[in-house]
Amino acid sequence: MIEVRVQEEDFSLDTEYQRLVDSAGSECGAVASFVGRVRHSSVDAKVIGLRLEHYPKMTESSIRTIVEQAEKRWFLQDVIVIHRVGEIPSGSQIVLVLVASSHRPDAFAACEFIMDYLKTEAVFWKKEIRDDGEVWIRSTANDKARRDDWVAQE
Amino acid sequence: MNITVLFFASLKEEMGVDELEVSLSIGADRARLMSTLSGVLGSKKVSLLDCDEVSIAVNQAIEKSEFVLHAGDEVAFLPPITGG
Repeated sequence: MIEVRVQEEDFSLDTEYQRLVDSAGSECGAVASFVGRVRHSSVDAKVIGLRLEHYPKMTESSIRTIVEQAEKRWFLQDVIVIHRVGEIPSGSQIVLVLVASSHRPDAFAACEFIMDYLKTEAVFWKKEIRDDGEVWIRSTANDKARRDDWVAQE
Repeated sequence: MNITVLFFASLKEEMGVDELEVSLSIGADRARLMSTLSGVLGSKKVSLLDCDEVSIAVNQAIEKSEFVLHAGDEVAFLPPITGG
């Protein structure tokens, strides 16, 4: 199962973990999870929250493509990716990546790979709502470097 | 023929609109689309669309070079994506 959801609502790690392991079955020996949260501070201002925009027809397929690339590199049983859009206050969960595999090296690596690619390739635009105004933000050089490290390992 | 034009994020703010229906002659290309948009939005705004940083997707596929449009196509102007 590959499940990709783009939604405004929050998610429950417990609920999604249970769905993942129910689907992955008895050969699943490892689940890696990542939860991304909205930080309260930027470099030079307080962040009240984020506003995430997406292109519904493209965003979900861009995430699915990333997961399919991960499936080509590692042996994975099931993957769930949930990404929130809309207004997301600081301190809230914003993204969930759950990866089930037989063994932990594949689960860890695929989870990190999916997250690194989400940060650079997924079709989202983020605006920081700060105490001093609103600012569209961009992928950082560090995000791009992490993605490029995976490309170099191909 | 009619096509739909979409603007996202910062471009939506700069254009002041998120979606437009434009009428083009059959076989219209990128240059024809841009000149039609200039007529609707003004050339100053459209110059913001015509730069390397902005990606153009036709029916959700990024077009890196020239393209020819067909009736019912959806053209989206995408500022640099931030990622998740």
